[in-house]
Amino acid sequence: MTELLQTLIFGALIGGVYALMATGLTLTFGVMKIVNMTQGALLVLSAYLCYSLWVHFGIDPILGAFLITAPMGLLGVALYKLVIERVQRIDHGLTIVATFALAMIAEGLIALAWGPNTRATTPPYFNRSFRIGSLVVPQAQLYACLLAIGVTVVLQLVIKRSWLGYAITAASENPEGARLVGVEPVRVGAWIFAISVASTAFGGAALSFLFQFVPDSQDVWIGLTLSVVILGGLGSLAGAFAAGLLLGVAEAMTTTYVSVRWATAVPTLMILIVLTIRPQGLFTRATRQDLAT
Amino acid sequence: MIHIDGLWAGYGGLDILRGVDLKVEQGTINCIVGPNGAGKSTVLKTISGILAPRAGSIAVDGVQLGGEPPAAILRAGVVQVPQRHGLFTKLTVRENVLMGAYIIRRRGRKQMDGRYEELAEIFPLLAERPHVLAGSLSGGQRRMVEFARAMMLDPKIVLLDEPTLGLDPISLAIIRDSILVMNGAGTTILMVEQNVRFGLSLAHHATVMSAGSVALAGSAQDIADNPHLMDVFFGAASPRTEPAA
Amino acid sequence: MSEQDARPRQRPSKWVAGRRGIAAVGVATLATMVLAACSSSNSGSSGNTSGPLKIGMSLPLTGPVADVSKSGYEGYRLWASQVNASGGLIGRQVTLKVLDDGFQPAQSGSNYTRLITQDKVDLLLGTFSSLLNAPDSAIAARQGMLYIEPSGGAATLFTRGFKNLFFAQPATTTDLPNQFVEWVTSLPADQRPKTAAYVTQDDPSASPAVAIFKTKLEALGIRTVYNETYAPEESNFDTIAAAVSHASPELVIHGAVATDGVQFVRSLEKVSFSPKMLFQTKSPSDETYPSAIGTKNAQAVFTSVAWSPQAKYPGNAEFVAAYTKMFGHAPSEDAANSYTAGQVLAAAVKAVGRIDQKALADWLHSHTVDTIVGPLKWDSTGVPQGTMLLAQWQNGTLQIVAPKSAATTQEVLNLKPAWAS
Repeated sequence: MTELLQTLIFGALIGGVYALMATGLTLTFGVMKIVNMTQGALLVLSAYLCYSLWVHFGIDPILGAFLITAPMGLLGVALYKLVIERVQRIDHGLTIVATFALAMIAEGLIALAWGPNTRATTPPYFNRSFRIGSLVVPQAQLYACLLAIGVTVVLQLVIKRSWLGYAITAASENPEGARLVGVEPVRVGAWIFAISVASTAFGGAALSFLFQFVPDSQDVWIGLTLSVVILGGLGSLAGAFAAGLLLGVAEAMTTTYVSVRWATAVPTLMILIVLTIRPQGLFTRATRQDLAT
Repeated sequence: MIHIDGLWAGYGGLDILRGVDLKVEQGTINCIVGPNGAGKSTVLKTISGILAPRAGSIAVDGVQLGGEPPAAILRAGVVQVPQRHGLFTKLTVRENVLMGAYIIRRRGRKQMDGRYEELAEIFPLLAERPHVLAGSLSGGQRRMVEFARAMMLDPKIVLLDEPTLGLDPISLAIIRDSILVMNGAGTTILMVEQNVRFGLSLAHHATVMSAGSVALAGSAQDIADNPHLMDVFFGAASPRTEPAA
Repeated sequence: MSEQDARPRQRPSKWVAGRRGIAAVGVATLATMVLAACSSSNSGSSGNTSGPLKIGMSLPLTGPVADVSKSGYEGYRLWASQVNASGGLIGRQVTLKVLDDGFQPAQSGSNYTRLITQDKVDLLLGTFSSLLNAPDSAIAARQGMLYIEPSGGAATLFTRGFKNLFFAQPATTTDLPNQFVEWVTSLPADQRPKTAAYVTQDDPSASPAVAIFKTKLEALGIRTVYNETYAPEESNFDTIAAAVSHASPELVIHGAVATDGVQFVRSLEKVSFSPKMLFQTKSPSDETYPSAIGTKNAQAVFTSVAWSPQAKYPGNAEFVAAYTKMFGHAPSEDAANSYTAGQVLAAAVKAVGRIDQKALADWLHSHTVDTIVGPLKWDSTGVPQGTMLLAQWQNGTLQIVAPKSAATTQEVLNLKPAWAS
C-alpha cells in the first residue's frame, strides 16, 4: 500500500512538471493551431538563463524565473513578428518546419554562449524531501508542481476574464468577426506568443534544478510537451494540466509495476490509446457547431 | 450621411462592385436588394473596412473612410453585423456583447456594465441568460446578441447583412421590432436583405443592385410598386442597367 | 612510342616494327604496374618518405558529446606538440588532420574514408565512443590501416577478427567489474554485503559490465534483490530509486553512461536511501560529480577508471603538468586516453622505423608499450591485457585503491555514510 501511494505521489509530482513544461504550448498549439517546435529550445534557454543568474548572482532559480519572464515575453513577440506571422501567410503547415529550424539554430547559439558542459542549479531543496509518515515528497518536484498550478491559474484567468483573453478566444475562433469589433488578429498573435514564451521561464527554472542539462536537452522535451497538449485536448489549459498528471502517474505506475524499460514509451502509447477512443482529447467538450443562421 | 461615389471593389482579380453610387440619409432605414451575386454584401464589407476599395470614395458625414482599417471605421461610429459567423461561440452572451465595446475598453468596466444594463432593457435575452455560451443559442437569439453588441458603441450607423437569413417567422417579427427600436434610438440603418418583402416593408429608402452596380433607387414604396423590379431579379433587361451578366 | 606500334593488327611489313611495339607495350605495362604499386596507399608504404607525417582523425567536436571530445582533442594536440618538440617521429614532424563528425557514425565513417583515400594520410588515430569507433575501425581494416582508438571499450568491437585494431586503455568493459569484485572477495564474509541491487542503462558500455557484476557477486553468495534496465532517454529516476529503497540492498551497482549517473544519485537522496556501498560506472570520475550531487555525498562512492592523475606510471605526472600548463586546466580521463593512443602509435613507429601499417600492427601484437596508464599489451584481437583501476572518492579526492601497483592510498572505505542534507 505504501508503495502504491509513493508511486502515485511521484507520478503526480512529475506529471505536474510535465504540465508546467507544456503550458505555453497549449496556447500556441491549442489556440493558434501552430506546432511550435521551439518549445524545447525555449525551455532549455530559460534553464540556462536561470543557471547564469544562479551562478553569477546566487539568485534562486524560481526567483530567476520571475526575472526573465519579461525578456522571454519580448523574445516571443520577436519570434511571432519575424518568423511565425510571415510563414503563416505563405502556408500554415510551414510553421513546423520554420520553428524546427529555429530550434536547431537556438541549440547552436546556446552551445556557443554557454559551452557544451552539463549544467544544473543546486538550490538547497534540490535533493531534499518532505516526509509524511514513511512517504517521501521531493521538495524540488513539489515546488515545480506549485509553479505549474500557479502558472496555469494565472493563464486561465487571463484567458477567461481579461479583455485580452476575450480577444484571443474571439480571434482564434473567428478572425473576420473579430476584425469587425476592432480586434487585430496579428496583434493578438503577438500577445499569445509573448505569453506562451514568457511562461516557459518557469518550466526552464524547474528544468534547471530537477535535471542536468546540455544544449541539446531540448529533444526530450519537445515530444513530451506535444504529448501533453494533444492528450489534454487542444486549447484547454486545465486539460493540459490534467493530461500532464495522467502521463506522470502512468509513467510511474509502469516503472514500478510493469517494467522499467517501458517507462519512456508510456507517453506515446497513451496518445495512441486516447486518440483512438477520443480524438478530441480527454478534456475538450465537443461544442455545438456554429451553424449558419 | 453615407455618400458612396463610383465604388469599385473585389476579391483577387475579380471585380464585384463596378461603379456603385449610393446615398444614405441620417436617421433612415435603408435596404439594398437584388439577385445573388449582385454585390450587396460586398458594399457593406467595403464600408466596414473588411475589404478595401479599388476605386471610388466612401464618405460618412463628410469624412473619407474608404480603405481605412476596421478599428478606425468603428471609431467613426459605423458598426457591421455580418451575415454569418458574427458571434463568438466560445464566449458567453455577456462577453459577446461586451466585445462590441472592445475599442473603448479602456474606459473602464463600470461604464461597460452600465451600457450593458441599458441594452438589457431593449434586448431581454441579455438579462435573462447572460452567462450562457453563445454557441448554444438559437438563430434568432444569436441575432439578438449581435444587435446588442452592435449597439454597445452607440453607433451612428449600423450595417446589417441579411439579418433574417435562416430565421423562422416568429423570429422575423422580433428582428423587425429590434430594427425599429434601433432606428428609434436615432441610429441610421443600412441593411442588405434577400427577403425583399421584409426589407421593403421596413425601409424608408431602397436600392436595387444587379451585377455590381445600382439598377434602381428610390423610396421603398416606389421600388415596391415598380413593375420592372422583378425583371432585375429574373435577368431581363431593365431601363437603367446593362444586360445581366 | 606511337599508337600504331602499340597495336598488333598491322600489315606484315609493319609487323617487324610491331614486334618492337609489343616489347614497348610490355615495358610500358610493367612500368605502369610498378608505378601503381608504389603510389597505392592501400598497402603498407606511403608515397612520400619525407616531409611532415599526416595523422588523420574524425572527432565529434560538435553535437551531444562535444564537451568530452574537446578534452580528448586537447590530449592529441599535447601529444603531437611534445613529439614535434623532441624531433618528430622517425625524423618527421607530425601534423594532425582533424574532421568533425558531430557524433554521427555515418559522417565519421565517410570522414575516415576521405582521410585515407583523398587526403592520403600516413597514419590514423581513433575517435570517441564505441558508437563511432565500431564503423571507423571497420573502414580502417578494409583499407589496411592501423587503428588505435582511445575510447570505446565495448567488448563487441573486438569480436570481428580485425588485426589492425588496438584499444589504448588498460582493459575493455569486460574487465571493468574485476577489481571491485576482488576487493569484495578479500573482505571477511561477515563484512561483505548480503544483498545487491543492479540498475543499468541499456547501453553497450554499461549493461554488459553490470551483467558480469551480477554473475560474479551472486557466485559469492550476494543475493540479488533488484535488477532493472532503463532506456537511454530515461530522465526521471525517483520511481526507480523508491523501488530500490523498497528492496533495501546493502550494495548498489549502477551502470551509468552520462547524466543518468548524477540523476540516479539525486533520486536516491530524495528518497533518503543510502546504500552501504555504491559502485557507479563513468559518472563518479567526472570532476563535477561532487558538486552535482552535494559535495559530501560523493564520500566512499566507487567507480572504475582507466587512468588516474595520481597514478605513478612513468610520464604520467609530466603529462598532467604539461597539459595543465598548455590548456589552463587539469586533464580529464578522455585527454589521458587520447594521449595514450598517441604514445602507443609513437612507440610502434619508432620501433619499426618506417610507415608500414602491417609491420606496425605486427609489432604491437608482440610487444608491450609503456604509457601513462601503465604497460599495455594486447591479444590478437586488440583487447588490452591489463586491468582497470578501482577508484573511490575519499574526502574530496578521487583515490585509486586497486591494484596495488597503481594505488594512491592503502585505505579503502567499507561503509558509505548517509546522505548529507
